Amino acid sequence: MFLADLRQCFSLRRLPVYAVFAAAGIILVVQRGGIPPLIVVWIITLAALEFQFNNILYHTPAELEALTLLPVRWEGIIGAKNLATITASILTGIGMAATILFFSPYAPGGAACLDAALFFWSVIFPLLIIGNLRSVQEARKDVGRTGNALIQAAGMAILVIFCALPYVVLTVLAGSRIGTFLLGAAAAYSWMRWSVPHTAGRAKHLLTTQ
Amino acid sequence: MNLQSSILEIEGLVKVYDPGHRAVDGLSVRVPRGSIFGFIGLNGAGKTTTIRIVAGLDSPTAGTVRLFGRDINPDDLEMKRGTGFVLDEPLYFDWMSGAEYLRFVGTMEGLAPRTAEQRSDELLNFFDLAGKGTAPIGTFSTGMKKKISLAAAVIHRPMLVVLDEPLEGIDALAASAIKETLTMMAAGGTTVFITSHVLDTVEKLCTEIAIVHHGRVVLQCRTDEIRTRAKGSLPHETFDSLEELFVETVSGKTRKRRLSFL
Repeated sequence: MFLADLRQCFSLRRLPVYAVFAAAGIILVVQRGGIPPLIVVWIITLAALEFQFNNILYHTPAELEALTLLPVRWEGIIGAKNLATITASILTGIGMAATILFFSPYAPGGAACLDAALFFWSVIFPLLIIGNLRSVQEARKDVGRTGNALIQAAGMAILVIFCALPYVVLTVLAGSRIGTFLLGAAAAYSWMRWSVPHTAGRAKHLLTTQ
Repeated sequence: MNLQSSILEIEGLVKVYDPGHRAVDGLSVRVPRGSIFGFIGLNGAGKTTTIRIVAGLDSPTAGTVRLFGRDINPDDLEMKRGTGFVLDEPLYFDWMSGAEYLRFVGTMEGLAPRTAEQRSDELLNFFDLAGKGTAPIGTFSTGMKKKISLAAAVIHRPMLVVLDEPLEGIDALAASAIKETLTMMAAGGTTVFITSHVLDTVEKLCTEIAIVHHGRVVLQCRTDEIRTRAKGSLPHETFDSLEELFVETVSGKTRKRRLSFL
């Protein structure tokens, strides 16, 4: 399931969305000042992967039905899909960084890389928790349309910025990287212990309660 | 028929979608183990809804469905491993190639990766799909999608295969391959539950049939009893074919109708 989900994330039909967001990232980083380039890379990457977070049960219109027929526990399906999302985010982030930073006037140093890693750690689990909830509450079957994907991705960019507020307060304003790390760890614990089982419980009955 | 011989038992099944629209209305049927069971009816008779409930894709409003002697339950993984479904809209991960999809399903169904790969290759060859290489399933024709769906439904060698209109919209070669597979599976002990509008095929292929009309089973019999089964309950007492029996059962019209000018 993990590999299948990762594979669909990088299927050809996703490329137009990634290309549009990479272009947006390039425009943002060539304008000097403002948000650090590596943070821009993460916002762009996570926004481009919106479907991977917020619509995990309908990567194709019939996916939920197909998953329902498989003899696999829903906790395993949700967990594998979320882990695939984390992996896809990191791989896409590396690709986006290579593309976007090529045009950036800045060369990020070690501290910037550490802050970027901390930024990712602080937002990824809250995004997964929110995405899991949205996946079972507002499942979208109209997948695959680039226009719709772009609109959803724009909303995701705003959500990423919202989820980054603790990072801004703790790391940027208070200078407490350890505080940001601990907050990310708490979110990871909450994702594992609450979000995955809760989403699995809802997904199991989603078709029969619609 | 005793209960032990039934692989699937449906009792008093009701499905109401909107007030006043009863898609299934007190349907009861028992599917004998090892049979090729034809579930036939007009469009909207309740066949697909019944199959979706058996598959766990829909919930009944009332009634019971027992599979392998147990009530259907979304957490019963053994029950899922024992079944294979080909639904009216083939279910697949359409970004995958045929080989990828079959290996994926095989592995999910509990086969060792090597076994899943071997069976996948064999199934692709059998269904003449080996040449499609890395093409995504989304680009396949209707017949090819049906064949891939059937291959995925049987790769783990389930005890029961349920097929909803597997012969609709496909060419003669694809239909032949599908019929061949079903016959082969039944010979190996698998129970096959099939809906189809192609009554000739149902009559030749199936060992038992049930006619569904307005959401309930109005007639169930062995296919070798078709010619005499309806004795006393229909205007005619004998029938030359399943088609005649079907038409008379669901419409009440007799087979000897004529237009005066033809």
